[in-house]
Amino acid sequence: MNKRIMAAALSASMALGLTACGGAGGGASTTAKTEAAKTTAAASSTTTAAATTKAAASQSSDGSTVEINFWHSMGGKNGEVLAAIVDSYNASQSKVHVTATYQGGYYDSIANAQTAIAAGNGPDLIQSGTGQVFLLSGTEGIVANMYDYLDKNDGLSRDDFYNSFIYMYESDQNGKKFLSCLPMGSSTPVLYCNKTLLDKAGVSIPKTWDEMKEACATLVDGGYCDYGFAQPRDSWYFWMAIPNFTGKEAFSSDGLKLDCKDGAVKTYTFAQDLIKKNYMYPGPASEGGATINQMMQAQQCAFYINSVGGLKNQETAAEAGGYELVVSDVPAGATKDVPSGGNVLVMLEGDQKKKDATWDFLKWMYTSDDGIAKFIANSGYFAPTEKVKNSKPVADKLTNDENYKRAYSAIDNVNSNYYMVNGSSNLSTPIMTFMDAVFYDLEDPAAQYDVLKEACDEALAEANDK
Amino acid sequence: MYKVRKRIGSVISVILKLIVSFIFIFPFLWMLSVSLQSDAETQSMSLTLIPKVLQFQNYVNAWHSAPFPLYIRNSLLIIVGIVVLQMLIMVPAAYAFAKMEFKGKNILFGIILIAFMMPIQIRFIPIYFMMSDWNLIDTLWSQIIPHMTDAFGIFLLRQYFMQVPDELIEAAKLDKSTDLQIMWKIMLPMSRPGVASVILLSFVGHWNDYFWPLVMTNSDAVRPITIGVARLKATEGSLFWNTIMAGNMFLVIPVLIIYFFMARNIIKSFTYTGIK
Amino acid sequence: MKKNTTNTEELETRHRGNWKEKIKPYLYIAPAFVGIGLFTIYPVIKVLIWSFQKVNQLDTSKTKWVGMKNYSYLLSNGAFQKTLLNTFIYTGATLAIIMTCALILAFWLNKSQGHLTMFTQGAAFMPHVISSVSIALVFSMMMNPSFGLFNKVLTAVGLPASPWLTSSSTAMPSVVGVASWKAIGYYCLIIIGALQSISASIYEAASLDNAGAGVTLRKITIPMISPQLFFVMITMTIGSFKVFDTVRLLTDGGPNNATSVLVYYIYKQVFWESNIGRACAAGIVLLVLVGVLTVIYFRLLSKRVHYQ
Repeated sequence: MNKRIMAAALSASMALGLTACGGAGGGASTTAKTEAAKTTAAASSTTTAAATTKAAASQSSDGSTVEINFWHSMGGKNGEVLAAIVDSYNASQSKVHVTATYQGGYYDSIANAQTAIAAGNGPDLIQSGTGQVFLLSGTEGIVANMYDYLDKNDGLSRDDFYNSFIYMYESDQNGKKFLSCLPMGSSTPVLYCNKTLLDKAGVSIPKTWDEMKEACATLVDGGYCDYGFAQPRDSWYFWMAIPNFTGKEAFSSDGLKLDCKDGAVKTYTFAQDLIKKNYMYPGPASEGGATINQMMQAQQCAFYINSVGGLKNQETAAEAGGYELVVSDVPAGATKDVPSGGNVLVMLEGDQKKKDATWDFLKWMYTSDDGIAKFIANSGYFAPTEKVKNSKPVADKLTNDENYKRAYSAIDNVNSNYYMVNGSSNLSTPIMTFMDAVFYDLEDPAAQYDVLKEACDEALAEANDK
Repeated sequence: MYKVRKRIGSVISVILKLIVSFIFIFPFLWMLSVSLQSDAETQSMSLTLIPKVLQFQNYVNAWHSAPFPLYIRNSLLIIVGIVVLQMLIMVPAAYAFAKMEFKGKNILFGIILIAFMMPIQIRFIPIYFMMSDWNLIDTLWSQIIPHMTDAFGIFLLRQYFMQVPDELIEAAKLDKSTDLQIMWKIMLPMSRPGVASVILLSFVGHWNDYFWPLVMTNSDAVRPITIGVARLKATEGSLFWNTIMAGNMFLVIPVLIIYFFMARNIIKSFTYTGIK
Repeated sequence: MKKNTTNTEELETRHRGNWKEKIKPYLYIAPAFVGIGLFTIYPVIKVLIWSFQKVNQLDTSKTKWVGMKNYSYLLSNGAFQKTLLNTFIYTGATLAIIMTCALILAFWLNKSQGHLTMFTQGAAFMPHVISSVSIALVFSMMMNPSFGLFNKVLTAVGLPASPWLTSSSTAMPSVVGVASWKAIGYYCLIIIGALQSISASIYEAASLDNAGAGVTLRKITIPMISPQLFFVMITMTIGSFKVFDTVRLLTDGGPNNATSVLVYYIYKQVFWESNIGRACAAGIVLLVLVGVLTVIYFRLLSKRVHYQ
């Protein structure tokens, strides 16, 4: 009884407080208002059970609009674009209202969601990173099966998606194919080059790692810049480096063991050599991407290996730094293969009405020119479906933006086998520790590999111990 | 000769004091300087100490980059909520511990002191689940209620209350004053510095708090300013230190203003150890 | 103190037999204890229970008892051992640096009064009232290896640039430096407060006895301020064990776990690895360490601490 009164009183006062500031909130005013609407609805409901309150909250006063909570990971410019996309969806119809909230980086959004789901107040849709989805999809009954919706074939179907972008999210659950998320902005690493600097030094864009080493030698030893190429601190590049450099997978074919000692030692000894000579700059742990952007702009380094999603930022940096930017493929080792990544949309299990409403939003996202197409055209990510690629905004960008066109060709090198690890466990922490030890502390790669293998195998064994 | 040496000594002492002050003040001056620099100045390889043209636009940009009015309002609501709740709870408790005799008093007071030692960083996990059971996650309440009892505050108030002469309480009791009246009309006015200290500590502590709101909030609607400012850096893309530092000033300026006017009181409250 | 009790005893005798008077104090402290019960005692018990379980956050029906498995994992895990070691290094280093600087500053600034001295005290204290968020932002800007002020100054005067927060060998000293810079003023002023509470007559007596400066310091000053020094040691140690904000904002525990400390480890276990059981076990380790250290302090120092 007391609990109920308290909840009602709290919600009511919250609603009051929030409505009072609705106008002053600036950018957040819409969020504040909907929150207020939500809490008012909750306050008027007579029960306190989490589920029912949530259901009540999903209905606004007229009872016909379904409220959807969408948590995303896009800050800065990309965040503004995403907010505009959600606004146009809300304006386009009245059945569903989406509230988008920025939750920090890929890890933050998933982490917040985990605790919130456990507490019974998770969102309906989450945008997070490729490498983070498994944190939610590992437990059954949390994430909705996207095939349930795609196979209805009402406007968006599984054939629309590029297989290489959804392959790794597929699994078998109780004899049924299960798809844990839909790719939103897909990406792969590319090589951003300061062409002006290269021309000055008389170097051409490197196609292989040996050429890269040579190019860096000319550039750095010749005093044209401080560093050759930079790379952000991210476990993604572990997946990139070993198979690309050695032509062998990092994990055993059953996906249960890390199995690439020779490859890892070879790759990382090579990398260490580059680092020692300042040919390679491993980005710092905090604000790494931003620091490297700044270094590119100041022409301190000539190359940058980063996601295609960073194209916009690199174009901005090149303009500010006054040099010509050229996008090229990541140098080839034994193969030209690169991993895919980027961000995905995860629909959560829950109330059927909410799931249907979320699906309506998703369908719109993938089919409207104001949806994902707008996001892709404004960032530099790859389109997840052929339809989005052919949409006006993306098609225009592909004809007008030389660099985007070149970046897009990297899509041919994507090899999704990279993620063939069995079970869902967080391997990125041990991988990051390995890369830190080798890159920052110049520890012996062979010894560090043994530490990494122990951690990975243990995590994988634990994930498969059901 | 002695005079000269003394002179030199005092000159050195002045210089040393200025250096020490500079060490502690400089980062704030640098924050101010960067917050007024142009993009080119912050991103160039050379050092700019004083910006050529003061870029007040950075403050406008920072203010619009996140819902700061909302963050500030949330911070204030949280602080006021905490202070009011704490006062309602701590004043009677401190009064009982200072001026009443009852069985188990020492043990109970000991429990309060032990509670003071339990780090919030351990307790937050169960509290998070408790808050979500009560449907309070992502509300301002989950940022207020768990701070309802501040063990150190009780300790501090008790120290001050103990100094109020018993005769005053006796006299008030003869006048048929209730305990409530005694607390309100005698204890609080008589220990004004103590009460001010508790409020001040609470204000500064919770204005600056980062950990708790980080854990308890998911949406801008209820986030306080610390999270908002920390977020300025988290956004991807180029790092515009000038905008970040301008946003940082929003967090620092209110505390600095209070500090500027009340430095003596603040120092006294913070450094009061209650050990006599 | 003595007088106090007699008075309240008298009061009590007057109201003897009145049960309302008897339960009154309990009523007054009840709300405070509700708070302590709900937000301190219950959570600590819950953490203790969880530390023996494999907690499934998303599906609580799958939570199961695992005995000491979380603890044995932690104690055999390299990353956790490093975390423990880091926590001790951090605590020891901040304690040593802050204590030394605070004592030197306090003795020096206590000698003189006047506006400049007050200003210096105020300046030194200022970082203590500023949010660690702000401070971390400023320092991470100044410590940026390529564009930061520190390296610009270092290279300008011909010294080699430091990687600051981005290398395992310099990250911990950098974090310790920032934390010490933030706290020195606070502890310095506590010590000054203590020094000023020593009455001049004691020093006069000492000088009449022709006691030298060293003897006065050892025999009078230090014993007289020992309760405050004791307080400072305890709060500083506990505070250092609980460090989180600066680490999370400056280095995120990296690079290569070089700055991973206990609370950061707990946070990461909860929010990144979603391993509540391990997080709770690490929490209990923290609690035990803080408890043991407090007891040791009390044992070691209580005999030497001089209470007025």
